[in-house]
Amino acid sequence: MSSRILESDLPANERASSLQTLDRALELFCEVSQLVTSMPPADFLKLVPDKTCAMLSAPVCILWELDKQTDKFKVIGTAGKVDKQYKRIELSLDEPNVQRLLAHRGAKALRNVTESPIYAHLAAAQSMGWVSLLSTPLRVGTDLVGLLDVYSYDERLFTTWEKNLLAAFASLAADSLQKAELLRENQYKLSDSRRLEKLTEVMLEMTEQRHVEDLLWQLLNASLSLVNQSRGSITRTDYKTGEQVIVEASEKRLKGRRLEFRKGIIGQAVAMARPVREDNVLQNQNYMMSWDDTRAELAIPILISNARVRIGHKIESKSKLIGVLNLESPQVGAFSESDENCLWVLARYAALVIERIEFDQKLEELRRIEKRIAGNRDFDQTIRLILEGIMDTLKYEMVNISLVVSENNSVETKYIEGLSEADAEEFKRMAKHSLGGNDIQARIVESRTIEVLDVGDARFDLAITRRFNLDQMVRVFIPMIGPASNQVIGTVEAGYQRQYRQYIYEQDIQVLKSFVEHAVQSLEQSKPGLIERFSHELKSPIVGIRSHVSLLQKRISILPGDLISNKFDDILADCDILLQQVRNLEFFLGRDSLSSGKNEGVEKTVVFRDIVMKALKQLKPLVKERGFEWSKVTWRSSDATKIIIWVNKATLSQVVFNLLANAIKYAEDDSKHFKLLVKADEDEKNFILSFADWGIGVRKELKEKVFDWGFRSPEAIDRNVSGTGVGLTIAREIMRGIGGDLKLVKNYKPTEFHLILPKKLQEAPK
Amino acid sequence: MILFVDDEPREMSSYVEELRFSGYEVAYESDVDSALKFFAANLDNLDLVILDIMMPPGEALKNRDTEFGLRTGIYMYREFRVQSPDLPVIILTNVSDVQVARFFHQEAKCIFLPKEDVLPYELAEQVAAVLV
Repeated sequence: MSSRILESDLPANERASSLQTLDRALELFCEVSQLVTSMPPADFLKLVPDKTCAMLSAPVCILWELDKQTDKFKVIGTAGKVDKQYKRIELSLDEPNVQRLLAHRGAKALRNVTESPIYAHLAAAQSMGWVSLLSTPLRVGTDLVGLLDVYSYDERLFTTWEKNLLAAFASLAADSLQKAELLRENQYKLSDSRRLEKLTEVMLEMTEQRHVEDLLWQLLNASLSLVNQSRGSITRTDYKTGEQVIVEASEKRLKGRRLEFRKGIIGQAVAMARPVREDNVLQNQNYMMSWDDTRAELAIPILISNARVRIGHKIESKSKLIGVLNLESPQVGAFSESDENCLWVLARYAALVIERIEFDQKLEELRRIEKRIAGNRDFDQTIRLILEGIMDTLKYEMVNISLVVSENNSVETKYIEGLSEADAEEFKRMAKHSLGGNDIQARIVESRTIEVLDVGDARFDLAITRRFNLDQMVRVFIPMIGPASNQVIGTVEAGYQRQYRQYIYEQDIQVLKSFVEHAVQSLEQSKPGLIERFSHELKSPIVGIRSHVSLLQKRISILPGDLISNKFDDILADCDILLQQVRNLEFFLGRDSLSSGKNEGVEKTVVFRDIVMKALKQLKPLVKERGFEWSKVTWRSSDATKIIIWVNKATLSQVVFNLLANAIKYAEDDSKHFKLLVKADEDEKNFILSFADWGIGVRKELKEKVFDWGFRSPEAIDRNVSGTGVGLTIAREIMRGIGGDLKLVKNYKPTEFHLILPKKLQEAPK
Repeated sequence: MILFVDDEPREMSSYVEELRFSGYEVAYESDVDSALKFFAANLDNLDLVILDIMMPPGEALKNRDTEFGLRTGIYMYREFRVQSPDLPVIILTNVSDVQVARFFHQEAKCIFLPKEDVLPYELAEQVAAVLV
């Protein structure tokens, strides 16, 4: 380069001056070359414009960086006087002036910018008073990364060595620019991956939470930490008022504050069901102040975006709002798009966990209520418990229980919650619908399906809807189907105001359905029917005894001898049945001898002779009544003295009597099929008394249910209406009470029960 | 002829025998299906029906809500009434539900008798009064 100056035609003084300048430039270049290896690329880039001006004795220098996403050059550094407007220029890669420069190898000079076509940045340069331009692309290999421009205020002819010097310097700058960009990218990636790591950790911790309060606290604190902020709050939706209620906040004073429906930036996020990021809240009219100096706010709905809801019979996906996560900062533009995306993921995940925790809590509370229901034998109290479960635990605002009244061939509201006492009475007076009619209650009884009805459905009773403003509510209708009987005994209608919660979520419906099923099973047991059955079971033998005695008294003189004998047998059988029912009733009322002392009334008993044979004899008239042959009732004579144990005869008799009576009651009508076999076996620890009959049997899936209190299979009801469904329950409880058991080992042809008697009962009690 | 419908023949046997000793022809049916069949076949010869309430619903009424058989007789009664609006009916039952009693008290040509209140000869006297 210097040889060219020496060999040039310049006058000697100019040549000397040029050589001095060249020396100074080379000195500077060497200095800068050393700096590039010793300082961070970003710091080096800050020096580039000044050093360029110094090297080339130029008043102005602009350093541009290419934004590869937009293909535009942006000013990242300047030296000299460059105004703000110029610094904001974005120079497109496609601009012909730029393309011309890029096509040229090395630096390209432009003696006067006014001679060039008017391009935006040149026009701006002109307005700044700049005249000559020397520009060079910044490349690393073939990779374009930026531009470096030098301007003069006077027309200047840039020499070749100046061009070469700039080009050489540009390669250092390009290298730094690329390194700086890579570093930035890496740092970004690093922070991004750290954030992702932390997000995953938070999510994992969330899954272990058991209480919503703890989870919300964790959500708020983790969110603040993820975006390096310190102020924020979480709201929950109050579905009755539509308000957002602050339930967790970085400052206690905010807790409990209620924000009006759809007001504030939080309200905006609720309305849009997506995050709202406000860089400067002072420019947002919706902003409601929580902190005096807040400038940026990020409100993120906590919602399940695809919750299943029931509309009519169909299941659809809708979003379910739980609350809002709201973060604030005193810095304008404090929240980035990346912050928003990260917290949006976290908030939606939190929504799912909250839903799961609250679902579990509801189930737990309902299980407690179900236990109370199961221990209750009062129909009204059972219904009250059902209403309590639906209103208090499942949070419905109105519940209507309608029952089928067969005498009136109708379905009628019998219990209603969520209305004033006077309104409830009026509702009950109005809500009586014929079973064949089109009213929704009657249709649900008929269709046996669950439905969520829309406003204006033709099956609503208009008079009731208008009188009680029911069109403001979204309601689900559930048939009450007895699990044992498979009969619809009524309907449950539950709902809430639709203004702030338009849908009934399928998960809630399934919880309600399962609760109703359980409750109906209990109702079957506690409803007046069970008492009526017990009453019938007692009255029936009494009526029999009394009518036989009355006939004997009035007609004994004309009655044939065998009829008189039969009447006496019937009277004795009825007396035994009656005693048996009284024992069952005692058990039902909790006054059985078992509960009064385990060893009370225990005596040495030859089980087959003293209990089985006696019970068979007592039940002989029942066999005759069914038209069966007594010879089909068989046992092995070798078993007669096989089991000798210490036991309360009355209670064991109760078990045996129940089993044998069932075998006769549930025998098939055709006498050819009747057969009853009793035998005694043993294993190492127990005697096993087995009762096998060839009657109607028990469906496989009901094998365990037959021991449930009050359970009667549909087949049993078809066969014999007078059972109470407690005989087997009592029998098994008695057997377990003495350390034995009662098992149904075969369900059909034969139906075989095993009565397990522990051998330890052979020893007399101490 | 009297049609006597009750699912407990042994307990009801003395009532049936007393009616027969009193000179009445009694047809006894112990289940719903046979009773309905008999009723339809002998409608012209029937003077009276004596009907229980709590009975298994049988095939004919299995889809009706008989409350597991506790109210079967009500549906039977309705069936009888459809075919023979004027035939006298005596409800002889252990059911003591007031609503059931009220329902039958309001029916024409119908007498509601709790079994616990009626001995066999008293039933015969009631029948005599109805068939006068």
